[in-house]
Amino acid sequence: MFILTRLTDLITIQPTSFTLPTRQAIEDQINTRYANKVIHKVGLAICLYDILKSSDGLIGSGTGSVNINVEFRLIVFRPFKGEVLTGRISNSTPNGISVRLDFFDEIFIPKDYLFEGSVFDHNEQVWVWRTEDGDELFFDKNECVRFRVEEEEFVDNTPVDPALRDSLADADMTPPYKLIGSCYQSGLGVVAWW
Amino acid sequence: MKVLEPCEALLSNYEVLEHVQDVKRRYREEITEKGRAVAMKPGNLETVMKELIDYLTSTAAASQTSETSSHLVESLTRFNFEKIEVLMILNHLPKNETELDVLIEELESRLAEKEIAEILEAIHTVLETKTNFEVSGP
Repeated sequence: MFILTRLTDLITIQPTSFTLPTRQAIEDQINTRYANKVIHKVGLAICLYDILKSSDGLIGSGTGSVNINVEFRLIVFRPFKGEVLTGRISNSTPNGISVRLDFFDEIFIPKDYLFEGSVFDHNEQVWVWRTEDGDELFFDKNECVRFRVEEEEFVDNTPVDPALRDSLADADMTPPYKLIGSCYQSGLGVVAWW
Repeated sequence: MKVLEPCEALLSNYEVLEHVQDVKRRYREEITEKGRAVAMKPGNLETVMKELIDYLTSTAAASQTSETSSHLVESLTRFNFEKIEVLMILNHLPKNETELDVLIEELESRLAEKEIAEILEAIHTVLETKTNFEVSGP
């Protein structure tokens, strides 16, 4: 579920941070830049793991900021294909089920990836799995489900003009990283069932 | 920014939880030492750390210590599992055969019933060490 990614980046430290120990100033800068952000084709960066190398600081002309080349490792959320995860059901629609982990929301289980014999109950707005024995098992909201990661999708969003950003609805923004899951094997589905 | 190595190593949920709690502890010490204003940390880091701790403490990671998890990995070596399979067992600590079967492909043809029982027993001892804990998922 989590991996370590090695990166290099040019870190700029503002004069206001000069009172801090260098190490801490670098750590803060890296975390500000990467924590809780998606790196394209890498995954969702969580936070800094360790700093491997750093160059001498160079002061650029005109600003007074120090520039340092740093090589470091980040903890990144990037489940592999076929990995089994647990999350909570956040929403159900006739198209499938949305699942969220506390720190990551973009997981979707399409209806074709649900157990055979699953139907959507329009009155209750939930998916129901009718087993061969005639039992009815409900995918209730907020239930804890186990699912398998089938696909991942990275979208490279082009930056939006800040002046226009407010007028855009949330629905227009495609998530930069999302996962497609499945639930059609015994042991998967709501955790309490098994 | 340049990505040198997209995936250098895999981390188990337990290791991530340890690291994040460590970072949090360090920041907290700084606050008591120097005062809140000096020890301010980036808001995005605060958010992701809180949510991640919320999630991981509700998974099997919360019931592990570094001894129990390394002990479990050792006891799994003789079954010739793939690295990612061991990782998933560690992250989920399956309680019965169905749960284990989801994680391991073709479980029944690869292992005898006796061996499966041994694995579940080894996992059970890990759960035993921290008593008042329930593995109910996030």
